[in-house]
Amino acid sequence: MIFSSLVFLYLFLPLCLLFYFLVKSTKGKNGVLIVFSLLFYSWGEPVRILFLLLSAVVNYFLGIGAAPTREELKRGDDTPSVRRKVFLALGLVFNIGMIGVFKYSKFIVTNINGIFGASLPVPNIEPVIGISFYTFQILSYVVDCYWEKVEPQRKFTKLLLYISLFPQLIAGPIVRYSTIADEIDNRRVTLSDFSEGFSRLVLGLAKKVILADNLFNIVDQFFGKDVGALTMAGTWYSVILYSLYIYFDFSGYSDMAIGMGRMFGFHFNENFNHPYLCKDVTEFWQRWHISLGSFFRDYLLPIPVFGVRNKYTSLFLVWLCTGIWHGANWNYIIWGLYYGAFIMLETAIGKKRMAKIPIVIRHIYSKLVIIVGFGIFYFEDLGDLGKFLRNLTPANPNGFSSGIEAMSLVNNLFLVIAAIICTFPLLNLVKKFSLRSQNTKAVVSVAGTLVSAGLLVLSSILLVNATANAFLYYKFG
Amino acid sequence: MQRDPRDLRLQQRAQYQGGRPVNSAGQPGQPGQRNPRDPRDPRGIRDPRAQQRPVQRPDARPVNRAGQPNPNRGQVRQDASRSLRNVEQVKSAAQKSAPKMPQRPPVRQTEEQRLAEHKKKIISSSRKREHSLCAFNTAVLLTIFGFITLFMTFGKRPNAALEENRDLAKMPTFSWKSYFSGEFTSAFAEFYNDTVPMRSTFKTIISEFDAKLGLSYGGAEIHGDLPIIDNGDKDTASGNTSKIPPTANLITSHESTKAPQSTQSTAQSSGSTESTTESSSAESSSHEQPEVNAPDHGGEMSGTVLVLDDGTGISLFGGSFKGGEFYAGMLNKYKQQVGDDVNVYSMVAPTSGSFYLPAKFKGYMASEWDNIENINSFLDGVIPVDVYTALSKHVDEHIYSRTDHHWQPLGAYYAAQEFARVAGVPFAPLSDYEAVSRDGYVGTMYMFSDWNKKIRDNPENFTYYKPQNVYETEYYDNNMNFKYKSSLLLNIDNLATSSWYLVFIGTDEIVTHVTTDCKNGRKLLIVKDSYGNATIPCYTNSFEEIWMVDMRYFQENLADFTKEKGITDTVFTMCSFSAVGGNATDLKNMIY
Repeated sequence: MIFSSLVFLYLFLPLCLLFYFLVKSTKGKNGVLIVFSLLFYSWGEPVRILFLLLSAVVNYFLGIGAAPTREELKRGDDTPSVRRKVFLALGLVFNIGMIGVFKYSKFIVTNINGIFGASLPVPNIEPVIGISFYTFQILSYVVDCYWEKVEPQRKFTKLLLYISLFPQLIAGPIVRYSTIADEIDNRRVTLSDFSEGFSRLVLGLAKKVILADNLFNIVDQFFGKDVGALTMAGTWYSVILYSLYIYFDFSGYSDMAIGMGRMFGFHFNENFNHPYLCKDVTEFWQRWHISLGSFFRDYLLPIPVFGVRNKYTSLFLVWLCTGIWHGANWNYIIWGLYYGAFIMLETAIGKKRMAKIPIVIRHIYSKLVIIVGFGIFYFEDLGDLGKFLRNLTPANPNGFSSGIEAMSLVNNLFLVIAAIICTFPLLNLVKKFSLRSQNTKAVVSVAGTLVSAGLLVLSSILLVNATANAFLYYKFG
Repeated sequence: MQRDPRDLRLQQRAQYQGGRPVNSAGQPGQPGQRNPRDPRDPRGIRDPRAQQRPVQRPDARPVNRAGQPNPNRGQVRQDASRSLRNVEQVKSAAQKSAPKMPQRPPVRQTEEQRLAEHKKKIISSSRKREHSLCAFNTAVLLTIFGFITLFMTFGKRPNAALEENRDLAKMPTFSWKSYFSGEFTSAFAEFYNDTVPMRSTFKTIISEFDAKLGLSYGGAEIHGDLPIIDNGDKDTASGNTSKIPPTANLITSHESTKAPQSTQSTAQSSGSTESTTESSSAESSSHEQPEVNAPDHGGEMSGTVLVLDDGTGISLFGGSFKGGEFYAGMLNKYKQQVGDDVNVYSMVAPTSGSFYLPAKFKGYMASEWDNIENINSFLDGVIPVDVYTALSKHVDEHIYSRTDHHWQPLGAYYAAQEFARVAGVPFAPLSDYEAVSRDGYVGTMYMFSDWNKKIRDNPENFTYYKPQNVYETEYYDNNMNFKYKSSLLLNIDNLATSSWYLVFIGTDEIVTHVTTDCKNGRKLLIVKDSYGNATIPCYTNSFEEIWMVDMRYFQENLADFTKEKGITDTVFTMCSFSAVGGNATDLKNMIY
């Protein structure tokens, strides 16, 4: 089920909220959330629920096995026992194996066939939606158990709740167990939580339905056909709009997830922090899909193979993994390594020397890298990717402009301007302003309510048309 | 900065075993030290969660390496709820320390008490205010949310969309089998979305909103599909036209070779402007593109079509020379299979854009003329029928629908006339038909334009022509199983206003067989898209038998079928979109 659909918003969510608040005990509320989460996940393809349950059951035991027993804790063993190491290894093999089989087997076999001229049967496995996200979550849980950062959850249903919690199930943010471990048992939905969560949900919905979907319509007019036939201006125009689209689509989803989480009393970490404000590529990744970046930072680097002393090797590996994570396709690998290369470059230059470069140049440089990067991200077909890269340059055989991109820009001028403005931290400015006095706070708050109300109505109407626009990150799940 | 993972683990273990609150920077410590912000920050006052939640955040670590998010920047600073909690902890600690006060000297106590009370008052009033603002926000949003939920649940759901000429999705019946296969859920979602109460009203609102996303650019707007014009190998294509004029010969060695003469007389008597005397050889590429000056109108791209100010919807042709080459190749292959006994013709009809697109929009549409010429240049043994020129002579008449993507029956008639001339068969004048005319036609363009008001508000006339001679029609399914005998033309008054074009045989997914009283031994096979449907009544005076199959749906081998039915003439009749686009690839299913 897609968050930005009428079925979800006006059938599933009201029912879920109704039962959630009718039930008084936290235990009951957890039950409601589990039932609705499983319903949510099984919507459309009930079979995939088996993968989720299998993953939950296996990792339940792995988590307990990887954590120290009470005796071990009492003894204060410094080195983990063999049992714990085995369970950790099993956890890694099982979870990475799950992703490998369900997401990459087709890609791997196809490439082996291609490279070695073998003719292995290509497995016909369709990727299971959300598997990369929830597998990463549960992998972090098992590793955290091993590292003794969290106490293993001995109640299966509670662990299941953590894995299946529908706001963050399919497309992140990748919530750590430690973030919500306490809230699984002790949480209270306060009025301010519910209110802010609701506003956040509406904000995310508006980002998706008003900005992202309309931006994508334009992008599709250009990229959706033959990219080889685009002019240079047309290619730049569409890839810039695509970069805006992908931000609003993904951060809109995260907003909705975080908002709904708060409505149920959970506090997830932020996933975006105005990425387009970054001054360099390194900073971009501190502001973009934060939960993924921090996952790799926390779980990949401490592993000896990755944490080798040579920082360039580890950077290479991290960015290779980031690329691969996004999809079983060469363009994602290229995309990951492309970022890795720029970040290595920035590391080599060093922070101090980077800071000496004029800010304007740094902004232009970083935006160029990001925008071209999203072009690489878009074109899964390497032939099209080649044409795209060629068409960005004066080597474009179709000339600089056919005038049609100017027409498209004028036709969508307000949309494009609004999208660009919305990449700035407007809400933070408003919040700062509202802190001036009690009165400004009240005025800003009431105005915010009215804006949210308007956005909710408008987005809901627009949803009558946008029935099939799934979130982009669903496909990376 | 490289860290030793073991240090980290030790530190984590300390946190874990000690059970002390850990701040977001990963250091165990006093709550008071942790928060860099002023504990009196008013943002900290509002949240009552503070006392309940011990802050335990062992996950964040101060790793700061190039390329990896810095938790201090990426999470702490922006994580409003977390920093709130920190502030709250400070506050709760401050409150806990309050009971210790009585031990202090009494004078200072009253002073401090007064201060505290004053502070408390401010805090409680600001808290009340905060609370009521939250309540207001929640109440407003919940009201709207609840209203829409009730509206969606209990509003009257429509079951058909007349303007789209289709029934809306139906509520699926539940069964465990369909649930587990996923059919039920997807069908239900489709039903739920498709049948939103007051659907057409919302569609209109959406189309008006879309139009407000930007400004009009020289009178034109693009909101839907953008044609990407294929200029790819234009040079080679036009080169082809000039160098190889197709010289297919018409086989007239059939029972009645007299037919061509009578054709001419009929054609001329019907007021045709054609005066060709040579019907035994096909038109070659020696002709020029007829010039047509379309009246000037402003317009906007709406949905997938360009809507002119007078309410004319025009589908913008993207063109594809490669597609055309493929199409021609399929026809050539078919011609080879059927051999010299069968005349094969290619009748690619231009769409309304060729004649009615104002000059200022010409750049947005590929040339249908060039694309048809390109096709003709690849034809080998197949006879091209130039309906472009034929139609261009009647642009002042109602030959294309303004509100529908098809031609008007009159346009089909002129095209059929040109074919009859080339094929050398008799052709009845319009006066031999009974004209049936209806006003108020708003066709498919209304849907293609995403419910553009200009289309809706400018309905047009629809006139079709009933043949008056004796003929019989029977229908088969696409695997050639007999279905039923019926009339060739449906009763237009039983059709929805938007689908009057369906008056011709009613559907595309059917095989039509007409037997006429014209006894000239010629048997026609029409392989077509929906443009062909309107031509079939025009041939009831021209051929003894007519078979018509749809290029997209027919399941049999076309060459076998042709031989089996004793076909003498096969005409491929379709609009330019089908000939160069995806529809043509379906020809592979019958020509192999």
